[in-house]
Amino acid sequence: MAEIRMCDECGIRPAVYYTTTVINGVANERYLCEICKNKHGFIKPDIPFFDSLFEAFGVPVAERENVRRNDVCPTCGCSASNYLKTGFLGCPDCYKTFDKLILDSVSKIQKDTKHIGKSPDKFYSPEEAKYNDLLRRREEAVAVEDYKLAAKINEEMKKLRQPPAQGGQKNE
Amino acid sequence: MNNVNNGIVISCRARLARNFDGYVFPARLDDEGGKAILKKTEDALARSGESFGTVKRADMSDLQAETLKELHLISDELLRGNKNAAVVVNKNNEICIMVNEEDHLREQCILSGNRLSEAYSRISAIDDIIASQNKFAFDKRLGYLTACPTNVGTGLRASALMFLPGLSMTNSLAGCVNAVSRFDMTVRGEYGEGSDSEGFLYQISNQKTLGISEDEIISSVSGAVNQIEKQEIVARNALLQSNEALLRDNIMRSYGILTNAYKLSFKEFTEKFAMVKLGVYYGFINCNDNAALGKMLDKFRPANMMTSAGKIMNENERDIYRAANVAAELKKITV
Repeated sequence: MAEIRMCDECGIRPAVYYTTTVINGVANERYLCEICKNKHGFIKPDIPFFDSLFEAFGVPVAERENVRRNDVCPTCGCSASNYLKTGFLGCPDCYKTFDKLILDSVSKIQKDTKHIGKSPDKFYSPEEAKYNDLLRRREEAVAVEDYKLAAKINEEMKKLRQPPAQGGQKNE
Repeated sequence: MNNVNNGIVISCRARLARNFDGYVFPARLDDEGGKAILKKTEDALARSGESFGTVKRADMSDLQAETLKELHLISDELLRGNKNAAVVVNKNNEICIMVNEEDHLREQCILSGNRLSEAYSRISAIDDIIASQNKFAFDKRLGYLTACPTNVGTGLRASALMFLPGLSMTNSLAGCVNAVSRFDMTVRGEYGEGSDSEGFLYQISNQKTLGISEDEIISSVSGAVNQIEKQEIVARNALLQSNEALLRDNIMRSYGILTNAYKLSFKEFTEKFAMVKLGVYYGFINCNDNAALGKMLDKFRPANMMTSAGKIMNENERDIYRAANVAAELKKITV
């Protein structure tokens, strides 16, 4: 699976356009999403003739990296290309249709791919509940500037998170 | 010292992004689907034991829309989006649910002061009520599924609106912004992404919503807010020590303008009012009603002011009206 490059400007949306400018012999590459591209005046005029010219300047990143832009979600009709352009999905099923594509971008945006919080049918494991209680108590200690207590609570929290509490949330 | 009355943390907001399972996201939702989402939300909230009212986008006058936007109860996205977009709010506007915005639901609780944990607890309880009667789009690995993957996971955006004249005027804000960004938090202007900061108001919020629990998000944003608050106090002390006479002169001139001007644009009001609030903090100006002072900024925003005046005014009329009423109110609450 090709790696999805995020926008150099905002860092949160997938880059769709690529530009190179050469200043004093030094090439400067820019990868931009649809929104940031427009924000910076790199606007695609609505003239058919301009399409090819525009493509010459701004080659879509996904195309360059062989992403299957024609994949379409059977539920809502959203295409991979549309997601790459806008950063938005059409429906919850898009997460299944474009799973690899989304996981790639999610891991870059969120620096993580595993939810560990609340769920609609959640209940916390005793460890998770205790950890959350310690979090609140540490916050209260910091608020009243009792750093000694906060450090003590912090140590207890560290012990609870060894090994890391990935999946500490129990949904089953 | 963590002084809850120093006016540095103006308000806190906890916002949860949620979507109903079996429906496409609002941007692709048809009329029938949009109506169904709103009905599901209203039906669920009817069982909450709290009284809620709905304002549909289609029924909003331009003034009402702008008034709600100024109060952070709705967003530009809601105004531009799905024709079945609506806002469902409780009586005191603390609980507010945007329906058919970017996601089916943006459940939010906005509280004055530094009460982020409380804001989250309250909105989480509302979320539980809606979830108990409906199925949300949820994936065991990715958590709550949202229209934009930047919100996936907890779907939680926790933020605080802070008044930071000390850090701004001592050019120390950049350091703070860099520090919080290392912890996946961001500092923006008052009205979020792309908005400018007016009147030294800044919004601090989390960026990461996946791989971190709700409690951790609340705790880390609260921690950052407390740290920034302390730094703001340090900066205000430094500001005072560097040139008290100049600072005092600037504050009293601002007070003079606000209590004597014949015309007052919102921009000028924002700037001068920030200085007056700083003057109250330093004790240069005595205020006998801090709650009323805290509400003045929203009260004199263009749409809110016209709504409470009960009439539409052009810019010139607004500026004259604002000047007279700001002066009267300030004279009443300050000595």
